[in-house]
Amino acid sequence: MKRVFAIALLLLSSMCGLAQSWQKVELELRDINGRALKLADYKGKVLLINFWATWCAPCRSEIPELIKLQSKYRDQGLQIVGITYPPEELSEVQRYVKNAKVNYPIAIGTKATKALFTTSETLPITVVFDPDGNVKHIIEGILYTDEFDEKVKPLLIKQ
Amino acid sequence: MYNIQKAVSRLDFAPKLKEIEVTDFKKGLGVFTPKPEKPVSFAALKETLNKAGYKLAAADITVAGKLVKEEKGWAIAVQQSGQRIALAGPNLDVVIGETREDDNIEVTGDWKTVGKGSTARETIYPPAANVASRRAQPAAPIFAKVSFNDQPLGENVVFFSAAPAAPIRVTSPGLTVYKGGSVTPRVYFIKQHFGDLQVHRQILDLSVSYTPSPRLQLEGVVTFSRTAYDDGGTSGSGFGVGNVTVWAKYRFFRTVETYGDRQAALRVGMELPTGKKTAPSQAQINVPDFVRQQLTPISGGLSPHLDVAFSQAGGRFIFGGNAEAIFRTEREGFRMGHEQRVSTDLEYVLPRDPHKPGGELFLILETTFVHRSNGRLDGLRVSGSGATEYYLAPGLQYAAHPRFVVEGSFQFPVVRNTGDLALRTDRNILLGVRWLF
Repeated sequence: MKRVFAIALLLLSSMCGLAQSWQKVELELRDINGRALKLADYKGKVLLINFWATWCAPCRSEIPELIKLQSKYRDQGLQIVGITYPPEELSEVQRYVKNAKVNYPIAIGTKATKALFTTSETLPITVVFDPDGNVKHIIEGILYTDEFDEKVKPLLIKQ
Repeated sequence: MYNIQKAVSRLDFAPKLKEIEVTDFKKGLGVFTPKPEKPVSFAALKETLNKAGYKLAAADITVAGKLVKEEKGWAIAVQQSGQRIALAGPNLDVVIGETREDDNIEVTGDWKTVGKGSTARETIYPPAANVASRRAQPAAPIFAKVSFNDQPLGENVVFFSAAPAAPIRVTSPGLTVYKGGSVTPRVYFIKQHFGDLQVHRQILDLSVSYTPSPRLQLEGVVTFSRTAYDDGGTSGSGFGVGNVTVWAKYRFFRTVETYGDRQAALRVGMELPTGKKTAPSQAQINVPDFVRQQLTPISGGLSPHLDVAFSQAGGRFIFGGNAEAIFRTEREGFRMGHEQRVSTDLEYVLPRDPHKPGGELFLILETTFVHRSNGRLDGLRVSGSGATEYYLAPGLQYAAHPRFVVEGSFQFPVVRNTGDLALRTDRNILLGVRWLF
């Protein structure tokens, strides 16, 4: 049933094209603690959706930097949300998040979740939304500091 | 592998991301040509990959420059970057040989950064067998080429074709696995005719190639041929080994750009007079002598081949072509005419799963234009033995595994202007596999 849902979602996304805004996406996820996670809750924030996996070495290398960015720019409106890419075990993700002290929400995603935003096969991949929920950038691979400075910082509230 | 490319591309001396080529997914092998005007650093390469979650196992580098003598030993001075790269290791004397100071030299070897901070020094340790050195040649382009071997800890990779994509009948300017080779057995089922005479050939071509350097490929091809003939009254068959051909291919041009890989190579071959030369007798089949000679597995004696090939990839399309000339000498008074061939190739790649290599299906359409002049028999020119033909050959190639390819192609004539004494080819079916090692 899960698979059917994922395929349906995938077909829907391919029929409609990739989402240009989270407002047009019916995406309800559960974070790793079972809480509902809606993108609409982050309206007004610069949202970074980071697709990653525990089995992806570059993703793991990137996470400490994302944690730092979340701490540093939280007050300027930055919100990172991590969404895992299958195959993943919930318990493995929970253990990793706890050990790495991840300071932003992590949800379990499917292939279809990622397909809503991008057809790229790369992991990690980060989708950058402006405060109105529009997709501004899709950053393939590790998000390097200079890319953050160039593509994300200008969207943040200046202090 | 995108992350490897992205990480490496951030280095000062690295080219653009798309010019960093991952040549082997499974082994994590990649290659790039550093910017010649920037100094290279193995330590920086290692660090950038480490930050991206990879461990650099080893890197080879090829550097061309002037051989210079320093206080502590020999080094190569790279003109454009001004960098001096030390040469070290037990094989150094063999590598340098008779090269003198200030001579141009090109050295390939294991690359390391020796020392730290201000004392750090890039060093090449050449292995004895894999060294190219040049002496007293005109100044060569100064470049350094790096291949790295990473140990990915598991990554969902972006598709980056590592499949040994190649045309089937058209010469590929590409090489196979660097410091590796390939075995390519191919079977051809050919039907020809000459009036009422029907000829069926089954040919097994066994090719073994080896690529000792990023530009050079050596190949040997041996042919086994069975020919059956039937003119409605008499029939017979013969089996024999064809001429052995040895080839050397030098890839003199290659760019890896946003719109695809583009490469060109020169291939020279020598067909050796090793094949079976005995033709069926007049009593066995009553056709002109020159036609009977064409029922042997050979087309003549010692025959040099000269071949220039080009290909260009663009997205899922690959197109290319080659021009080949064959100069035949007589074997016991017989040879087919000298031959010129111009072939083209168009491929479309269908990846099975863009997450991982293997499973790509190549839809291929090849064309071949052949012009063959009159041959010779008993030392005399035989008029009416030449031919001008044009063939189409749709084919399929399936990369079942990054190192194993299955291929098939059906060639048929579109234009066939053959002389009175030349066998006419009706179809040529090719089935083959290719295994890279």
